[in-house]
Amino acid sequence: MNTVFESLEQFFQYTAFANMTVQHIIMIFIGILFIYLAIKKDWEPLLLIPIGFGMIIGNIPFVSGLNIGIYEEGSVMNILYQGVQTGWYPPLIFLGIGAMTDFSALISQPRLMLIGAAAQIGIFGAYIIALHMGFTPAEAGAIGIIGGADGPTAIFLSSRLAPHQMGAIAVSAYSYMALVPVIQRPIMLLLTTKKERLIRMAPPRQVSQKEKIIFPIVGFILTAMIVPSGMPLLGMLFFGNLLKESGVTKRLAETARGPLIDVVTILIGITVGCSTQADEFLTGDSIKIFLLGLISFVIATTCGVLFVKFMNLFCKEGRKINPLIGNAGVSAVPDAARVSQNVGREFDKNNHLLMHAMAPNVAGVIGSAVAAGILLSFLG
Amino acid sequence: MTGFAILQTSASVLQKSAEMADKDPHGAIITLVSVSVVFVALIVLYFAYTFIGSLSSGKITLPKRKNSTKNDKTAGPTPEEAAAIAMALDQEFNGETYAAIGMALHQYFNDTVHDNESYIITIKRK
Repeated sequence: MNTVFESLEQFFQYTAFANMTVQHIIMIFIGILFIYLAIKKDWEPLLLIPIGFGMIIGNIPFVSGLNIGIYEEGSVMNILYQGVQTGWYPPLIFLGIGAMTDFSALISQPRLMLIGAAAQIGIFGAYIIALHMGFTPAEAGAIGIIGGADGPTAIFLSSRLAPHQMGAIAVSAYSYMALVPVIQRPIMLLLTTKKERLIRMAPPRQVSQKEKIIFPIVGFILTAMIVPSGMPLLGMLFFGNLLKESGVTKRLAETARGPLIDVVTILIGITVGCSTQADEFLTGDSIKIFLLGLISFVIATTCGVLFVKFMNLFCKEGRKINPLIGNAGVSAVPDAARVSQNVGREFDKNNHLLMHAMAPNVAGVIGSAVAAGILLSFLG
Repeated sequence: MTGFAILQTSASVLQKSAEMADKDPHGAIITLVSVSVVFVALIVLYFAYTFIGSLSSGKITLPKRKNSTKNDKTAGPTPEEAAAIAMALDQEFNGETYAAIGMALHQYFNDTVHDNESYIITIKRK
């Protein structure tokens, strides 16, 4: 009989109940909260559901040595995590983004590209603040990229510069991307007058197929020449777009923007979520990272809106830009552009800004990849 | 349970980070340089696409080649060919045909034809 009890006790020591801590329970609740927000509020469900469930998986405690944890070399989760650690998932996501993005709005109104550059100031604003909060330059660079509002770029850069903080950075980036409507709207309203919000922009000209094909080739050559360290992201982004626009690689484009990006999104989401093990995640640094992520989003949105107002000083009447599209300079495609559209329609039901906002929005994707490349060349 | 050794920052990153902490403790230099480079990259793209857009919409034109071939669509027909086409049209067609041909040529030369067909034939079974 004793043997039975001893066996049961021994077995109990292996269960999660015996190893559970308060931190694990908190993280499991955060995972459930993510899943709730994704389903109930429809906030980035494609990301928050895999990340949320990954958090639950990653925070079931276990006895080490079973080769099941994400940080135990050779385990299944660890093998899947290699794509995050070595940074090859993000370029594949960029391939899919390129294959699904229509750059017509940007090609027809190239001046709006500059808004995408202005919004990247958020990255470097957060970088400076992070340095003053005691982070090393490499950590500060990885944290600052949250302001680019681009999950794959944040993972790509943090995997190189601060792999020990990648979980917190990735979760922070994706969380704030989901919260874009909540964060950006008050800033947009605060920085614009009613008159400015009513500005109507001329419809963009029609873009020829030839221009759409030239765009990714010229875009890649020019940006990669300036920032070669951003090549993995920029190369895949523009390559994906060429697959879409060439018109002769329909099957490849469909795979890139369909099954491939879906598979990688599942893997990146679940493994990033899994990497947020309580003992590593629930630290003072993670709280600071969340705070800095918010600050970088606020700076990025502010700079985007203010930069449009600055551009308007030099624009003739009839060519003025509605500053409500300034927020879209952060990547977060197409959520940030959708915020411009919704806020614009609050003040003029017939003023559709989505088409215009897509230009700085996709410029933001290019801008954040360039910014990541620059930080990598300085600190990597 | 940790095994966090695999999550260590690489030596080169640590070294560069330490150097940067010495040279630029407040982050002002890296910020100034980085923001400038982001702007330069996107300004270069702005000029490139403005130029390509102007070319495409016909706002600016490239100098024409002296020895244009017959396949060059911007070269247009020779005077003899134009006269022959005009005579044939005059004899064969009515005003609507002229309008349709005119519209098609206009779209072709201005490169606004965008409705590329897939050339896939689908047969509905009855």
